[in-house]
Amino acid sequence: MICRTCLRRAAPQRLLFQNAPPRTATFTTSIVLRNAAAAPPAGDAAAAPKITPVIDASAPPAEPKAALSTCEPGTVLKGLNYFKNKTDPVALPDEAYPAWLWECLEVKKKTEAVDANAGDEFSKSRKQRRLAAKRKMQQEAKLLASGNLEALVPKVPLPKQSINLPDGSDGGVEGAIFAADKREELRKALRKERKAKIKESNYLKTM
Amino acid sequence: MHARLRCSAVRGLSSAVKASRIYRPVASQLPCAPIVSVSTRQYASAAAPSQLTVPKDYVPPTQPPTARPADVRKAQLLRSYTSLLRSTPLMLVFQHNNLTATEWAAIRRELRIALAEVPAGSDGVDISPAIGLQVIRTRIFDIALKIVEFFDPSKVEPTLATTLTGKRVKTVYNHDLSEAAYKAVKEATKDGLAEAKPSAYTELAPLLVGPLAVLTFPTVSPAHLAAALKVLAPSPPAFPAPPRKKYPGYYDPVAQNGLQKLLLVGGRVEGKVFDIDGMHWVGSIEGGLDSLRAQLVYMLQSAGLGLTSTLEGAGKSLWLTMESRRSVLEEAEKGPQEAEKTES
Repeated sequence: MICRTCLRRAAPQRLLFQNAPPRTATFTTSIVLRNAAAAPPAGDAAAAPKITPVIDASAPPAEPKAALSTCEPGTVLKGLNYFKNKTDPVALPDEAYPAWLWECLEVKKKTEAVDANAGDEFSKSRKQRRLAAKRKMQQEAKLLASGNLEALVPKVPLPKQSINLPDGSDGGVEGAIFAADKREELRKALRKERKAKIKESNYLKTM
Repeated sequence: MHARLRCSAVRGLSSAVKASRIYRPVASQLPCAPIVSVSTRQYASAAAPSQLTVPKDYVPPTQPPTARPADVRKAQLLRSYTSLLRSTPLMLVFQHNNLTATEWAAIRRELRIALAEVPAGSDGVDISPAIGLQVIRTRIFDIALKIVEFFDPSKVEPTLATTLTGKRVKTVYNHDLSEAAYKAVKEATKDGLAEAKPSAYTELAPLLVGPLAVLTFPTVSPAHLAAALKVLAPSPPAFPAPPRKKYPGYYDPVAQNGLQKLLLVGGRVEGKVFDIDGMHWVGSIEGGLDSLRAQLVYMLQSAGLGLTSTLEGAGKSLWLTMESRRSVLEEAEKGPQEAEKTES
């Protein structure tokens, strides 16, 4: 007679061995991979025949693959293990990791670029002043090159403008919601200006 | 010495400013304006400096000249209120008396919960996040209403303005903060002129007294209006308050205290002013505007059917009379012959 618990125990293992390459593709199976130092070569052996035809078929995809990861698949990553009785993890091929992993550092760069726009010409911070001056110089150079005068139009902040806000007269429901959003934007800008003014006056009172 | 300076110079300056009246925002007055001064820097490709500086009397497109200072809070509120009045077809006006911040928060929370449960309209746009209760400055709102009612932007004469290249072109300044709008409103409300002529302003003006808050809807949606009325101004048979079991937060003492201090005074639907009963009527329209349109179509169709049947009726009855008369005559002709046949 076959023991039920034995069957249960055997079932996931069998699955693991049969579907080894797709399992490595999911991000959640990291613990299983960390366990065995002997397993990765088997996984590589299973994955390698699948990858090589792609490389043979077209030369261009081989290049970005080389650029993505710094360590080759199968490299033992020393010192990355933090489980008590397990060995160090082993690097997988690039395809085994999710796509966002290769872009997660770029997001930070973008936010830094947005901050660079906030350079203030009259800021107390020297860094901010320098940023503003640099931006202005770039702008001037661009203007000189193109001869486009539209960029000369002064940027009036929202709480100082005097044109009509959108009245949603042509857009129906969407137009009305858009107008409401713009009003909210103005409200937020007014509040921000007010807070800055209070902060400034409080600072000046201490002097 | 100091006092003397204050007296003469400053007063002289202020009088000079007042004399001009119109506040022309010149680019050079703004500290952040990117005015390019080419002469100070050396470039490899030297362009003509005059082309890269903004003319002295240039007016930025986002900051046209205004009748009153544009950077003060009141002016910005006025801009916002005219936009609100033009883009809001359905609006409820409430009077609020000393509501605390926590009470406002509780009321807004209950309103949001009630509105979220209303299904989206036929066009598939969920308007419930865009419906909001907002405290207004009554006097500024009153002026905004006057501008919306009495100022016609299409009738403003063009004036000359300088472009970036230094040319003088005709430009129309017909925004809500403009001199033209200011004058139009002054003219319309002079010597009780506005009160004499019935308009949407004269209807709504009596409501605009005291501390006010408005509930704004981006479209006329009776379902959403009914949901809001049930929360903010329940009146049992048609608009009962939310049940205690399902909405315990509504019966929270903070929310109830706040609701007691909030008073519905009226509303404005598509530019027309309604009192509380009128708002109840609008809220009780089943199925919204679509069902009203369907009713109208049905009514017009049935009227058409009635007309055709009436017109047909005269002809039909004539034909029926003639037909019956013919059959009677035929029988009368046949009748004696048959009688003779049977006798012989």
